[in-house]
Amino acid sequence: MPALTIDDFKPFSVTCELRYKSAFLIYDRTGHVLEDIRNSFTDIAVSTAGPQQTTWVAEEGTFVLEIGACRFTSARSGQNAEGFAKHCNAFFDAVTNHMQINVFTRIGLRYIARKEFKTLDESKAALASMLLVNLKPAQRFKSSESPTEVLFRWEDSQIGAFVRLRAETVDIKSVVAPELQEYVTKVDKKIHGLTIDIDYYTVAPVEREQWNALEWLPQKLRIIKKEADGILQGGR
Amino acid sequence: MSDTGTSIAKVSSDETVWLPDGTGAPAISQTESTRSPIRGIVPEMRGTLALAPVIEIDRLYDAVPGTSSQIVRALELLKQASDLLETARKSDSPLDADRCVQRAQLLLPKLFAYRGLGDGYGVIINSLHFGLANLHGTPLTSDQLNAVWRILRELRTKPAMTLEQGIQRVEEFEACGLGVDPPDVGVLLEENQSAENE
Repeated sequence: MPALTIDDFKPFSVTCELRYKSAFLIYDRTGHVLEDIRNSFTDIAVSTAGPQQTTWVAEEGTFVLEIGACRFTSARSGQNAEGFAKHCNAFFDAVTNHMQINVFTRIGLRYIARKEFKTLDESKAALASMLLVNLKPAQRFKSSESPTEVLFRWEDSQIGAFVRLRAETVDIKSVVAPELQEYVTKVDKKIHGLTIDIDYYTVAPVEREQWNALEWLPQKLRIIKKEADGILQGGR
Repeated sequence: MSDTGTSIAKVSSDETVWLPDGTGAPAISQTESTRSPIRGIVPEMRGTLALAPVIEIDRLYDAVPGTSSQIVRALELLKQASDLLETARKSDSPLDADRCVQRAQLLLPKLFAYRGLGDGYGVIINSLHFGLANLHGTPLTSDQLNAVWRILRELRTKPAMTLEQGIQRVEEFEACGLGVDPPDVGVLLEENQSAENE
């Protein structure tokens, strides 16, 4: 099987998350954050709202504000790092200003992509062909012969990265209300594939004045793709 | 350290996916790790971060070979400038010290090219440029040299300073006698003031 590269994988989502010590101003200022970002995003609307977590959805992606973290997820930013960084910058600026956050305890960037195969066995074979682990093929735990998921983590006192590769079958089902079934096509399909899930994050705290989203995010997305290529090619 | 959260729903499930301590993101798999009680301990451990040293700036923006990054280039130039100023501070010879300051001054236009990094960054570099130009060749005093060296070093560790923080540092330049206004603006202000007095 030819070696895969990250370009063979279709981006599923990109998420950037800031964590901080409990921002109790969330109880007073969540609305201010929304008003601040309203003009920067298309058709932004509240998806769920609660005292400790609010989610907004816009065409550009999903925004989550929690007492100890905020994150932006985009399904379209796999190829446009600068656009993703711009959206993150607008959202995180509003959050840090209104919540008066000066230190991030963790900044994480998570990239998920998948390569579809015709069958689950093909997905497993693709994972096995990468020779990522040196365990001999054998049935273990009375389960499958080769691992269906491989996880790695690299971490020092400053930076960490987590990589997960998983051969899997995903069920996509849509639940349509009976009165709408005449108009909406029901979706019920299975997708077989290999998922790569990479989480690149800071371990040491980051001061707000240190972090520039417009610079950090495109740089780290490039690193993620470069390192992913190396891993997919069996560490070559 | 937990993974970056993925708080939006999975394709086929409403559950949030938590890898051991990970960045939140929508996952497309159904099978996830068994949750471990260790997650409950993590928030308690995070309290210690109050005393933890912050991340090293060169690790936060480590250079990627073959790519161009404005912040990486700006950090390199700021390092060169602050190293030159440090040499000037330690020098016993006023001539050598002034030569180092002049070499640092030559880096300012290049540093100014990266003003898009932040409003605080832009105002500090701009003010320092005019502060040195307004000296018209007079060497920096020891207080001025210390202030410039200290602020450039601080800017290197906090390149994303806000405008307000940048203005505070500019006030420190002014407090040690550096005139940071552009020469033309100074003339205009004087003319305006004398017109008002008349």
